[in-house]
Amino acid sequence: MSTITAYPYLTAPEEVWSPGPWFYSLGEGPRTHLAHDFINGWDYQAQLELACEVAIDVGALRSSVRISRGHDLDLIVLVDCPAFRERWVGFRAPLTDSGEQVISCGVSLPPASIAERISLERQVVLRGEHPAPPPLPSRKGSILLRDARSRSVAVEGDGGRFPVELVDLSAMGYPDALWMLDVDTSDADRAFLAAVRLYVNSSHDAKSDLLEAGTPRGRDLVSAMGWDVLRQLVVRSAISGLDVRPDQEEGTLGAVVWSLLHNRLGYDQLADIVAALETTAEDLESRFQSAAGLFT
Amino acid sequence: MSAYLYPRLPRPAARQLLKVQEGLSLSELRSAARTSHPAAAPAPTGGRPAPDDVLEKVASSVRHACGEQWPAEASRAQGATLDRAVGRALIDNLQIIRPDAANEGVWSFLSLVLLPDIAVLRFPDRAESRLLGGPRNVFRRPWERRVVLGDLADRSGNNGQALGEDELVNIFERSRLARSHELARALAENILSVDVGNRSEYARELTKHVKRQLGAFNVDVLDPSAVRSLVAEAGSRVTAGP
Repeated sequence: MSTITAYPYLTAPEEVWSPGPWFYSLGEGPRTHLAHDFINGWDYQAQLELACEVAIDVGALRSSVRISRGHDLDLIVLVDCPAFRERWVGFRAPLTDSGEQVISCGVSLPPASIAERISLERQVVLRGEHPAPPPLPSRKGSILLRDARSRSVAVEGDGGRFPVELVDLSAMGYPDALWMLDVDTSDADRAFLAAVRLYVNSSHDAKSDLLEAGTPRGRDLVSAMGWDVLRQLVVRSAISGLDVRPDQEEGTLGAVVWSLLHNRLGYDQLADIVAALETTAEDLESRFQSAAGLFT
Repeated sequence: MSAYLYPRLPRPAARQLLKVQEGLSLSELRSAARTSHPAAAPAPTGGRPAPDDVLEKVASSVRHACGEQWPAEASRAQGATLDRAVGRALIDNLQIIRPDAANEGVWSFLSLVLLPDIAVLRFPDRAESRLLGGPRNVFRRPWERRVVLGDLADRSGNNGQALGEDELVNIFERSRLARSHELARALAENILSVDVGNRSEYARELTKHVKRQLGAFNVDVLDPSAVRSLVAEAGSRVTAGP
């Protein structure tokens, strides 16, 4: 069978554009800065609108990739929904021939069109063929400029960061348990939202306090649950030998565990957790409490 | 047509059921099939829960689709045919709210509560990945393939054969390819139309070629005919050899 040849081509430097922050609105709700990696209040019947502005020095861009006026370039927003196994262009606008251009991007996501988590990536692409030898971009769809990192946003899961489901734990034989964390540690590259589930016992008296969290008791319960989840996630990942690395794709189980390990607990590898459990467990447990801000 | 939310079986409860069902025969599993489970409930908001008669209709349509196979456990060679029949029955009857289908608990419910007999008929080794609701679930996989490919899933190719398991795996388990539905369909059409000795090997090389191009190249901005040209071009390189 044949070998594969792929020619590199010129791409534009980041200085030629200024992609602005993202904003969102749900239904008729207010436009809100997308400051976190989750959107509260979305459900399958909600219309989600996402918007941002992108300022582009089109002349500098064209000159950097040596594509003269008359060859069409587009600014697009690529929407990727791994849970749906679907990716599509959510917004597209043509670039001018020269000068500075400010484009208002708007992505409309109708009810039931997404699930769990989406990622958004802005790109400038070549719309038509551009006959030119390497290293100049020539093929339709060539990506000339893209976000340094795509923006990943969770839309499902109470509190945004965790997929929480209400279930009757008494039906599973745990009537007095208030929550249960299920972590599938078989694959560090799996989406975090798919690998982790937090179940809250729908038949437990404290359920309302926990979920509403407006009372002092509710806040304490949430704090205790946060500590327990942090501890379980890290310890269970360590014991199972989960392969976590700093370069894992955003939104994966491995990336989340590495971030907790490195940024919250100050360790460099999960093997350190296993060693600490055997030798300095008291220090490790105190670090967990401190990192989770237990009852603070 | 109404669309429904399906009960979600939490993973711990699904694992418990896996253990309970471990030693049960196909007919015992059929007797144990139910339309509800105490730990399973639909998402609390976002739509209408599937009523019992809809669940029963889904179960009976899938069992009907597998009627010729029952009660002989499917061999590896029979798997693709059975998957096509199951995929068709699910697309016609499930009427699921699309985001609900992204939840693994829904598929665990189908394979461990509603249709445990058919799940084991298809995968007699009872591998956990087939019975729990992840991407390789016995029902989720043919349903997703049918959503993307539509009738292409049934079409016979130049060699008289529909897409086989190896060929489908090449398209769908390279998730960057399958997430562009237009590209997945173009790949399927190309594989069906090719006239080569070993079509599975061709499919493997073709998908490899196309995937290599996706890093620097955005296939999602292309119109369907350009996507087909891209795939055809990669196909020509594969058949031309090194």
